[in-house]
Amino acid sequence: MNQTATNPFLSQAWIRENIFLGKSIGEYIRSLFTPFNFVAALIILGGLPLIAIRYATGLGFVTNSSNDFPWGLYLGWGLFGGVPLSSTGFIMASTVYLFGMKQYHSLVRPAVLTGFVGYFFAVVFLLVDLGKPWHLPYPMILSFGTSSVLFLVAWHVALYLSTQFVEFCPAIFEWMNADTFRRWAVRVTIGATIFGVILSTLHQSALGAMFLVMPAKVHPLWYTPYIPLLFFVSSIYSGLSMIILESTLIRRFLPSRMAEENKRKLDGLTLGLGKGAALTGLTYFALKWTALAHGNDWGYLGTGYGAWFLFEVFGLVLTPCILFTIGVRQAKVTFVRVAAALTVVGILANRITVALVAYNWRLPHEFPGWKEIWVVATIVTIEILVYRWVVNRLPVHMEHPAYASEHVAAAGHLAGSFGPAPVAATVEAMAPLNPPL
Amino acid sequence: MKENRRTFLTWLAGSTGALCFRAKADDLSAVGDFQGYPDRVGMLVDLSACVGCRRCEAACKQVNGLPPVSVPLGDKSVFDQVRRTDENNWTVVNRFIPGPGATAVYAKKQCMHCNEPACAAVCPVKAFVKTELGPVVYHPELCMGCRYCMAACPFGIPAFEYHSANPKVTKCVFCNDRIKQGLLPGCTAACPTNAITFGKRSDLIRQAQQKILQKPGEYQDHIYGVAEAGGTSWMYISKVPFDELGFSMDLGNKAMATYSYGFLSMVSAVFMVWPAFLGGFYLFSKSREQQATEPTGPDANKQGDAR
Amino acid sequence: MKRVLTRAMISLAFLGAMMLLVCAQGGQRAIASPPAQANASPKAPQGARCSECHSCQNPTAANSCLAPCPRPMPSEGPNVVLLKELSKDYQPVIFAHRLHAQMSGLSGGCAECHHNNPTGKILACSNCHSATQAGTLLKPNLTGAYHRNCLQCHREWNQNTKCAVCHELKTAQSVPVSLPASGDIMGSLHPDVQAPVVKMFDTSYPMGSKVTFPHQEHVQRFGLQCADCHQKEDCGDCHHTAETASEHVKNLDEMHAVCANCHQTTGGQEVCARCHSNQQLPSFSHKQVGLELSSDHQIAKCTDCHVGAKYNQKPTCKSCHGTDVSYPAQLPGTKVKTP
Repeated sequence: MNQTATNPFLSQAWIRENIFLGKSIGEYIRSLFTPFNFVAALIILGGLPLIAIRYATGLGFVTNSSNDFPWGLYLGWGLFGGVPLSSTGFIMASTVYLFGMKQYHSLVRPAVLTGFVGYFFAVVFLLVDLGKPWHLPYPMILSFGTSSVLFLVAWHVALYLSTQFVEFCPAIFEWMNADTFRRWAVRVTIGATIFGVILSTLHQSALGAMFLVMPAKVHPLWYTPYIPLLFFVSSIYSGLSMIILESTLIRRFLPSRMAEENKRKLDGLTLGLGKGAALTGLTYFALKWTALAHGNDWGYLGTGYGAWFLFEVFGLVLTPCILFTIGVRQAKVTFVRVAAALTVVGILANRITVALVAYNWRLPHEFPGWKEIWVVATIVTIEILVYRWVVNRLPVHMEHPAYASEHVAAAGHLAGSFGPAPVAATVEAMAPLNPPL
Repeated sequence: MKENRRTFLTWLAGSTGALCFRAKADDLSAVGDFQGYPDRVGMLVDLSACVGCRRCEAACKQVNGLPPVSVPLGDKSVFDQVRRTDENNWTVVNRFIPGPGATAVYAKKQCMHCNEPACAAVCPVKAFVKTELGPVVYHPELCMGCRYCMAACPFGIPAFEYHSANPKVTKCVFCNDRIKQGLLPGCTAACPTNAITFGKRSDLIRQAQQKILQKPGEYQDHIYGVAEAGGTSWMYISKVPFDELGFSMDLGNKAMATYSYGFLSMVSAVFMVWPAFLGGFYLFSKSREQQATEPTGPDANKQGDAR
Repeated sequence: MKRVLTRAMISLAFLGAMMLLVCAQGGQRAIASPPAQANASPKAPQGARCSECHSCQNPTAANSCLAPCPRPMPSEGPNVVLLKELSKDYQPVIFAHRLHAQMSGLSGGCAECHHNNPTGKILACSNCHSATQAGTLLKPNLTGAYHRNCLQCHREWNQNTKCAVCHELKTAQSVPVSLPASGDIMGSLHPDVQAPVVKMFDTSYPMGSKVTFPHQEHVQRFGLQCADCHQKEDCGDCHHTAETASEHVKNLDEMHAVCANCHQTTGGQEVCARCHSNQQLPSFSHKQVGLELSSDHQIAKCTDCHVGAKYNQKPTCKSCHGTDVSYPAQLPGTKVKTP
């Protein structure tokens, strides 16, 4: 295993080892014939022509959005839903590097990767949805609409995408066996993390602030001056939930790509994350009611929209919070995982509600068409495949063999750059997490 | 050498200042509590004079090179549904019957050309611009097609070419080119009952006030557009309450853009405060950790090396 | 010098006399031409009697009680007016003035069109409404002023026929338009409004659903004017278009309102049965109300005694007799038992 580290980048041996997973091309292609890949291929083969026709004939072909409802699933799901679910990177990086909770170090890389892929595909969704996607760089280079919250979002998503790429670079350079580059990359990590937190604070809340200019259009139950804060706080616990889900899924479906030690630690870490999610989730729950009281919109609770609001707040926010709490107190990891899944559903539901359902609430709504849903499914499928491709090749949930020795000494810090602590210390630090609270 | 440095610093300060000033002047149209350009033009529609002939629709299409009307002008079935503006219809006339048996009232709908337009404020590339003359104009060469303008417009006016591979956002542009040449906007010139009056906005407001005062009780004591959503260039007077004619009465008198000022002003503060706050936190946790690992001397050294 | 002054005074007097003449005859002028007088403000003209314009004793600024018509009778106005501002390209528009004037009593009176016009001389629209300059809200241009007056009522205007309904294009073959003899609406004769002799109402009253209304009798014999019953009606009430067709169901009071102007409509079943009789009632004879007229009174017109067709008020005898005869001291016949 160790000699792979010495294979130079793009040499034949490197390609065989690092692209085709040590198999011959024939073997590799045969290994792709799995039921999962078959379903994925069906979805993608159906979706790509739809996207092609969309670029040839206009957005109307693949969307049910209209002049009254300009934003459809692509933004509702892909941008407004995708970005909070990709807050994983900034949450774990700041937890470990800034707040010094080093026991979570093994989750930083998967979190940064989830964030990076999530943002990248938010941009892909944007490219599908924009009328003139080739004008996407204009806010950066040509014309600065500084009074627009979307201008802020555009810059921040672009900058944060780059930041996360930088944060993930050590893993890439390890994969490329480029030791010098890797050393340079790890040095900027702390700066990148702080920069990433600033950007995330702003653009997570900015996604909510985009709706501030629509007081007469968004339903009063969802329109509130608190909306940037609501979006920011909910992005934290949705990010925590995404890490719980992601690590659980990888351990379940790609066990060979997760280090044994990480597998063993995972349940304990999951409980810790669940505790954080429960706290931020309850904060969010309280904020939702504060916002409602602030606007004095109680009267709307008796309407159909009120029923949906109550379902969202109780069913998709409070319920997962209770599950998180039970899970953490009784050390039942399954509870935490179910709660995490429910949270992700709740966040998507909330963002789609704000962008689509509660928007222009006085007008009759139309359900997204099958083509719109299919294209979303296509992009999400590609996203999953890209994520799997990276996890299968890069050291995400494990140490790269070449740096493993360094890491044992450095107790799993990203490239050992931030104060190595003995393994014993890490285990000790974790101790208070594991027993019931 | 010293001289050079001073020159450089002066130049730097000067250009920074100039840049700030320039940016401020440029952004006036979209940012700040802007009262509007004093001599801007406007339109005043007397809804009681409109007979629903839709010649404004036809003229608008002709002047702006849009496809001709799909429902013939005489066909009243077009009024069975309340229509909105779309990519081929920059202005539409709708019919409202206020109460049983009442005579129909027609209301023309088009871009209101806000004093401080939401579409211009939210556009990340400044594709929509409020001109000094009054019209809110569109620059398709900048537009990304994000449709935030459509989402933000309190009057639901901008429309998108959903069936074009190179789409534009479309709306009434106040016949900007025509009025710059001293011509009347297409719809105004075509109106057979002179229900639309073009003029300086401040003059129009005075006329409308006079008209309302002339016969007390005949007109609604309200000029729609003077204050709505921060004020608009198009204004309406009516003998029938506006809320019965499809006009939104819950927009408030603040420009929609002002609702996001608070958030936007926070951005630079976060950029200043967060690094200090988070950096401080980092240093704090690091020093705590250092103290904890102090006894294991070699490790502490190693940590120092890694810096 | 003195001679010049005298001449000036004579010419002034002549001009004044001419103007008076023009004013008096203004109604007969078929085609309105822009008069020399440009003052269009609704100031009271000199020499006019207050009662010519104001219908009440003490008009105030708030309640000016201006008479709806700048002249006493609409029939004094021209029969047909030709509007020929666009005579370069179009045949003149034929406006059936008298017909509209007669119908104007049903809505706003002459002032519906001749607004802001002082008594006496009728001013041309173009006096105030410019044909060349852009209009304002307070003073629309001439196109706007004309079209507003026509199209506010004629909303059934079918634009498939474009402007030619009123504005016939001038071509080489066009012959000069002469004034048609009778009222003309948009080039075609308006049919006479046929009032029924008797109108039967089918009501939902269970005791007697059929109600007879002797329409002709009310008009011809009792001398009621159309507008006495047909109040606040306009073209649209007959010329139903989808947008003005009423979906409003009248309630009991609204249905009886017109009759209740003169007749008692409330009370017991007895009162109802007077009209809700399920049979066609005979035409009116005076003994039905308990007074059989003497033969000399039978030849008088109803309105001789019931002046102004005000049948619910005390009749007067003054039109024939002196002040010494009065009702009910002297009766125009003998009292009988009502059937």
